[in-house]
Amino acid sequence: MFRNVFRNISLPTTRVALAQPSRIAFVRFITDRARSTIDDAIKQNDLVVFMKGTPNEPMCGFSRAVIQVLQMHGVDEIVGVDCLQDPEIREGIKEYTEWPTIPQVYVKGEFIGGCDVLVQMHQSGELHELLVKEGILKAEPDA
Amino acid sequence: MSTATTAKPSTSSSPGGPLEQTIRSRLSAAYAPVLLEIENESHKHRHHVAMRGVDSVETHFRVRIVSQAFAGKPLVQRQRGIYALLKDEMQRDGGIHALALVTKTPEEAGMAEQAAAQKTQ
Repeated sequence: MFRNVFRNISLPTTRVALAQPSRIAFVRFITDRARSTIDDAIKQNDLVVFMKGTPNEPMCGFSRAVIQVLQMHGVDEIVGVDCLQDPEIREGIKEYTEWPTIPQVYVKGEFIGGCDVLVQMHQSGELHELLVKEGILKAEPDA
Repeated sequence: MSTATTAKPSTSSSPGGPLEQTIRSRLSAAYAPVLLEIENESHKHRHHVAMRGVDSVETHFRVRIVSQAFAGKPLVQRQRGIYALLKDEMQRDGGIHALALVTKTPEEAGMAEQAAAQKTQ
């Protein structure tokens, strides 16, 4: 019964050619394509994690921690967007959220936080409250 | 029993590298923290794929900060404030790659007494 169902959003494979060298540390302007991909991911999913790797195979300890915290709370379907697959999303999400690091968790269109915020919310009990309030988790009937 | 010494921000024994010192001085100035601990964890991440070709020994930090300035602010807002102070260091090549943050008020950290002592100094 604790089987987790993972899904990943497949990102469009078309790439806009970059004028700059590919090894750039920070893209200052989010591309329209990145913005609309991020918009769609957030609108179409009650909970989405912009991460490095996939929920089944996180490629970074911070992304892994976020997935583990959500699983611990019984979230049985985690939608992940793998930022390593797309440099535009990887840089774009930082500007979109005005948050400099990945992972980033959105619930019902709202930015909740990154790894530290999720862990702190888990410890304080706020995460469970939020997940129940937003209908991601069902309130336990006999609690 | 003197409480005066506990009101000083506690710091690790070594001053650390230039980035660590920057983090310490910016956060100390902005938040007058009751507690500020900075741990350089870069050595734990040296083999991490994203660190290939990076020579810096200051890439990953863990910061625990307790300050009255966080009172009434949601966690996201607290972290955004810290990120803003270290924006250039986080964006530039060879700068801070990861910054793990634990941000608490003295009440949340069970340090209300130390905060009160700091105030009266």
